[in-house]
Amino acid sequence: MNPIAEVWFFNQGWQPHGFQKETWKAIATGRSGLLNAPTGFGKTFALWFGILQHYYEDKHFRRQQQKFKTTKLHALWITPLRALSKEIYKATQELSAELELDYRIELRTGDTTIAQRQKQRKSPPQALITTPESVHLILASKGAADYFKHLEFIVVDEWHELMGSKRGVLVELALSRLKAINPKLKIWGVSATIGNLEEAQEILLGKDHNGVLVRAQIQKKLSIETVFPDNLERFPWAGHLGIKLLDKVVDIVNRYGTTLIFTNTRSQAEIWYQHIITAYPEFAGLLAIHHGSLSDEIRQWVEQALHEGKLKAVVCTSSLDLGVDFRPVNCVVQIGSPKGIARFLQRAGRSGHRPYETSHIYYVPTNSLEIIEGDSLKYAVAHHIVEQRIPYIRSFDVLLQYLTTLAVGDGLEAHVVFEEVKKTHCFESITEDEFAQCMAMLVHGGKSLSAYPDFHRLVLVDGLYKVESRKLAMRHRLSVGAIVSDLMMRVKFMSGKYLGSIEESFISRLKAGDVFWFSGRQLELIQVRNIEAIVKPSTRRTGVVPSWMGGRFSISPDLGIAIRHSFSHIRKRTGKSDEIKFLQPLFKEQENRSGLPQEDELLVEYIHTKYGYHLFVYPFEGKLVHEGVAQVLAYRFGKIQPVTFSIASNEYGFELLSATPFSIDQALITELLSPKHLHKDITEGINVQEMARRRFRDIAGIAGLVFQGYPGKQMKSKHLQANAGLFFSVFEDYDPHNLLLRQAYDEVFDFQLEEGRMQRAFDRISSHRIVLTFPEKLTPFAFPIFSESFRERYSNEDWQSRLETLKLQLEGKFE
Amino acid sequence: MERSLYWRELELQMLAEKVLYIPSYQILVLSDWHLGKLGHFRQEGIFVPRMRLQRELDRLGILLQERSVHKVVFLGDLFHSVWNREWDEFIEYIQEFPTVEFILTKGNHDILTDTLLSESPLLVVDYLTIEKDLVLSHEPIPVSLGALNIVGHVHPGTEIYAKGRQKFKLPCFHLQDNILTLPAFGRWTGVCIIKKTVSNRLFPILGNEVLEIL
Repeated sequence: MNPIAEVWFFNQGWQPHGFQKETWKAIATGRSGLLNAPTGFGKTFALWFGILQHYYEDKHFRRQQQKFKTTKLHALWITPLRALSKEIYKATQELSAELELDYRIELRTGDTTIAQRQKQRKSPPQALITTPESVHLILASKGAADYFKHLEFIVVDEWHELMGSKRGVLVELALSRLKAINPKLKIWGVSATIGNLEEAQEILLGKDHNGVLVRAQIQKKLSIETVFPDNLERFPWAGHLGIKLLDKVVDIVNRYGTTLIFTNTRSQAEIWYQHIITAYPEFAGLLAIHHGSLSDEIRQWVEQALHEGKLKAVVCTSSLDLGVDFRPVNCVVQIGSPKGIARFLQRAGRSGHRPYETSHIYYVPTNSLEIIEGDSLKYAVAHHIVEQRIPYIRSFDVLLQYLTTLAVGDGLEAHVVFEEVKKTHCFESITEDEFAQCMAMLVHGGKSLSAYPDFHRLVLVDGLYKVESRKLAMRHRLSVGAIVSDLMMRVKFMSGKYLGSIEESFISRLKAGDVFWFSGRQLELIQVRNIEAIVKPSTRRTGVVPSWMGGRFSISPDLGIAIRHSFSHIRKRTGKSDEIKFLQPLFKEQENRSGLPQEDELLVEYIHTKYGYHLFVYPFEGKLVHEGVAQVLAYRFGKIQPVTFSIASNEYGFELLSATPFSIDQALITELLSPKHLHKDITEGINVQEMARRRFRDIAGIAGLVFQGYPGKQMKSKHLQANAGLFFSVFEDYDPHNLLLRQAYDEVFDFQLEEGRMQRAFDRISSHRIVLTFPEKLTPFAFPIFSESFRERYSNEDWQSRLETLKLQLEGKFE
Repeated sequence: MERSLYWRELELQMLAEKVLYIPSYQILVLSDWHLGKLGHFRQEGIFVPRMRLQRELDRLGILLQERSVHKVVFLGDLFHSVWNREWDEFIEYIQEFPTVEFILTKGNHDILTDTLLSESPLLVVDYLTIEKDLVLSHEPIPVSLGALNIVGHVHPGTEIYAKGRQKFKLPCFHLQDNILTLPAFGRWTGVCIIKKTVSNRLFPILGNEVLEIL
């Protein structure tokens, strides 16, 4: 059926899986599709042999190909990660070598040199393995349409990863163009299991597609174990580091070949690395650290050492979630809540990834209440609960970038591109007027009603919009992409050795001579030069660990469901899981001090301590939703009685804290938590503008308003320096209906406030019985929230009176 | 509303409008207007909306109508970059005040050609000395003992931590030894945070008042 594959599988002494055969067959009949299979079972081969088969055996294609004088690009393989691209490259390359095929495969990523790129342009290989950004870069060059004209296949690997981000929008847009250039194009996606697989397929292949969905009917064996502390009494009620269980983690590491220790943030990874090395010096040389801020060189070294089985363990973050399989890894440790089921499964799958091996994952809770998530995770896995990936829609920032990309490349015909773009899921609902507004921004620098002679970005030449300025074109090529990073400082030794990058805000808090931990080393800051922090190794025992922005994940709604389910089992007499049994004393304490909610109950506690008057509410909806719900509640309180709250929240619940007592009873709290007029209260009660301003940072970067500068060079175009905040204010002032501005607000409602989830949370709460208690002191549930260090402030005193207070404080007349 | 500061006996009025007024000489001093900034962005193909320039220019116009002003001194960075139309509009605007002398002490952003500058009614100098007491320049320069150097350039601002973990960034006047730094007059400029020390004085602008951090 697929002769090339048969030869190869025969040589290897393997049998192809059912899903592989199914995929070959689908490809042979010219279908597009989505392949859903676990890692380690040969997803790549399922598609790759289909592609080879077409290249060598498809009669129609062979006939056509004979007419070509030069090689044409046959397949484009897109992955989210450079590391993964390299892995695919290696695997397919080896295969070509073993079978002595003349099918040339090349890599094109951010690492590819300019010379190589030019060579790839002049004489294209048969297959190019690349990233979404690199595809857009090709589109931003002259002759892009010709280059892709004879493309037969496009494969989007790890589509579930890309889909939930703006990089997914980049893929959608690139596909819309490539499909138009070549209607015969066959599109294949590879996706892990997600809750909305059909939707993922439709977004990739287009509406009304007739593609196939191949699901591998393979169940991976998975063993999940919760690591318990010896003693519940001594285990902290709050905290997120989990260092208390360090010895137990080291025991696990010692029992297995190679272990990946996943943490949720980069700073947590640094801390764990530091603690293990300090307590177990014998791990020196056997333990490594891996996260997204370390230099490529360090990361590649770690990855190579992992492949070769030289390491006992690696402390890592999501930087090792994806892609590349490390054969020696046979155990995974997850420190703290994984926040999502899919992420947990993904990480578990990094161990024992060979067919029919068991994946071992150990869950290490960081505080008492978190122990219960071990139970929730097992429940979710057993019941196949997996999250959906929510695609971005109406991302005008990406559209503006894309339009400029086309204009820098072959030029764009507005109405043609409009029709193409409208077929994507992201811009399904775009109106002609909105598209015209986007074009007007690029052509006139704003509304098109009056001509602005001072603006030149896109210029109309022979019916095509083009970017004529070389400077602009170059600036654009440098800023293609949908990931906007903070200003990063490069951390280097005096010798010039580059260690990685840290956010500028962290370095700026340090003075020369200060010591900090980074890339698993203790470093002393010597000096800061331009965008480089020069350091030397230090042996001093004190040091700070940089904290990076963006580490604040919230638990997914699906894990929330699983956690609520676990809590509903607290009161069961039989069949309780180990986790729940272990936590009995804690629940007893909670019940004695306050109460223990059933699945259909919502617990609310009003507590007076020396810190003030606390109201704790436990909806179990995740941090982000809690922040929003808390602000709405505070706003509604404020309408009844003047009061200022400080707000804290975690995954389980939230707290409103006031310096003055406020009245509360069953009827009032029921009314305050009602879903009625929710949208109005969100709009009026939450400082949406401030949130939108923060969102605008990314939007301005992607749309091309903020130029990030030339890589490695000091900003040359100094007069163009401006932060997104300035643009936000300018738009709010001079062009309040601007699409990008509206997008910022939409994103706040969709992703940050998660209005949909908030609405559902309020609806759910309204169907619950509210249990209001008045405990004497803080409860086990309350304590972790109370000890959250990050607090928001909500006040219903107006801006003017806050300024007055501030003024008094300034003049020393106030406390 | 203003707050007065005395340099020897000389009264310097710090106005909430981010300018300095010296009544004895009837001089109005302002710094870092960065006119033409948005125009410059647009010229470079960055699609910001156009500035309502008239509104911006009127900020100066109103100040000139409210008090008697003999001289206006721009302490540099008056115009953000190379020429664009906003410069012409600015020149037209100041010509409506024939009794006022306009002086520019050149700053690092003032890269307009000499021809353009010499065609304008502006008097362009590197620095300006007034009665030996005051030296006005874009950045601090060495001045004779006892003289006050009034400068701009850094866009000083101060961060105020209020109760309840709130933080406010406010533009401010900054006096350190014999150097008085003015806040940026421009609307679309950032601030550079200056820390309060025992040897400096900070005067943040809050709404329409000028305060002092004690």
